[in-house]
Amino acid sequence: MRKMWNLALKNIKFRFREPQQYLFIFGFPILFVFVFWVIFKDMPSSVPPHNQFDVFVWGFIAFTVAFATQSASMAFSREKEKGTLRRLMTTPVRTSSIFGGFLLSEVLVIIIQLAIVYILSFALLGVHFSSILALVLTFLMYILCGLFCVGIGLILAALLKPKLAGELPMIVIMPIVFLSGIFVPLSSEIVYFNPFFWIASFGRELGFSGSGLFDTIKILDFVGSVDTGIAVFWCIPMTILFSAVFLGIGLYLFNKRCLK
Amino acid sequence: MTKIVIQTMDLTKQFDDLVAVNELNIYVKRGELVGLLGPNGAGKTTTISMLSTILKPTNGDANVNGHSINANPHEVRKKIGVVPQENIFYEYLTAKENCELFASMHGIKKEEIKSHVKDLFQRLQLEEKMNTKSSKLSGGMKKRLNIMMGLIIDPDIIFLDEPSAGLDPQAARLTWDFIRGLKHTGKTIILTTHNMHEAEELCDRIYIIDEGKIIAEGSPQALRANIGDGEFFDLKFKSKTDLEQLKSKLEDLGSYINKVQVLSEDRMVISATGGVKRLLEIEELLPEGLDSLQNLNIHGNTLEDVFLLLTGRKLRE
Repeated sequence: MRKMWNLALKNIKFRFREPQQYLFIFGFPILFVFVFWVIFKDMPSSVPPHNQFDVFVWGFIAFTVAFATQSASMAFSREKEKGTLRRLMTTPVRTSSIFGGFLLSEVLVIIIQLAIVYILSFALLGVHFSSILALVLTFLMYILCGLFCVGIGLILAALLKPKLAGELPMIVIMPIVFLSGIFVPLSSEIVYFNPFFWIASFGRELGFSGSGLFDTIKILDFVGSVDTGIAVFWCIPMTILFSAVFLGIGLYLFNKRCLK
Repeated sequence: MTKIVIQTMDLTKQFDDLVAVNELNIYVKRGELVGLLGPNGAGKTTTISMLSTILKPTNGDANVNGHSINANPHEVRKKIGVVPQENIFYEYLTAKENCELFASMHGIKKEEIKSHVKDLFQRLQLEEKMNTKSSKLSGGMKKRLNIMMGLIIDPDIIFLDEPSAGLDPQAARLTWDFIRGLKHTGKTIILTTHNMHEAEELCDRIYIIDEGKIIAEGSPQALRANIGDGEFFDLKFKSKTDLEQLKSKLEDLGSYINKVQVLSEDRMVISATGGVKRLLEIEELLPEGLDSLQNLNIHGNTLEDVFLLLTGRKLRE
């Protein structure tokens, strides 16, 4: 556990000692919310009494989290390229500690970025969170969604040469984001195979679930939602499933191709 | 009898069609400093990578400190220190943080190795740069940090891959002195090098390796004696000459001609005892005497000459 924590700490130091990382961790979500606000601030609400941001914000947050793909891919391909992973493997450290340390630091960055987006969404965009439980649940679900993105990043880092692993992730993840229907609704069943669809649906349903804790709990039942016809509850296992599968594939591939 | 702490058994590594290491059998006794000497691409680094469990052998096995590299790599890693050829560390961490991180991977807390870390930094003359970001260190300092990280746990067995490559002569001397110091503390060391001076200066025993195979083994003195104590004549002819015929004539000259190797149609090397006077006898066999030669080089036998006579190639080719 100590080894895992020391490796995570090492990754965190990288994040906070390289000036360009500040731009990615803090600057990017702030800028993103601001641009989003400038574009949509004058748009009339389609779902009064909620504002238009209550509809779009969940897709927008998912879009922010999607950048974890790039971050993860670059982090691992950098270690692969510089040989530091190989050097670590000359010590009696388990690969589980290496991956654990890496995931801890990635999750920390995702949490920081999500916190920034949540705070600004509330303060600047006036997004309505129906309850603290809704806020916490959606936050946790987005962390899971971030792990899905980290999984994709790991897969790319394992399969691609370092230079490509730094350039391709956004080209891969952006179509996945847009094919989820979170920005422009898609009538195709393809959305069900996309974790962004589940996470954004979850956020939207909880966002509109009245006001207070009981309303949030009530919406988490097995009754089909108005929007999708699928029970909101199912968004949770579906997001977990996608995250676990893609993270598992990423870890397996990277371990097999780069650490063996 | 000194215990053997490293032994390979037909150790083989193949990358697609390339056999980088071919049924290698070597041993290292406790406290020995053994060199793997060979040109680039000979398989030295691949051998070290397998012994340090970074690479899995295609065939064969090795025992390091009583543990199989195939069956128990985790145990092997507990007692070894590896210093790679390139400077590999985290550039955004300070020199000290890098050392502490690698110590922690061995389960050692930084408080436990505080004095050892300080001692290492002093011995490698880096104590003033302990808290400097590694990326800000000079080339020589980075090399020393690279070495230090491999030794941070005070390992029993040390693998040094081309430890002085890319260093200026002064820094190389410092590194050699440091390695000698390690040997005097009883460490078992394998180092790879293509630098014959480094091998001669440091090693108790040398394995000369070429194309993944051991072609000679022994102490530097024994290896040189193998090709005969004496002089080494390197003859470059002005034009193509029947050197095979000349070779047999030279071999008939007597026992003072130790070895003759034809390197190309216009170049041959001769190891002979008896000093420069042998040149007169050699000269008589040349078609136009010394006028046949474009270049003549005479010097005492070195490990470079051993390699040249064994393979027909120079170490750096």
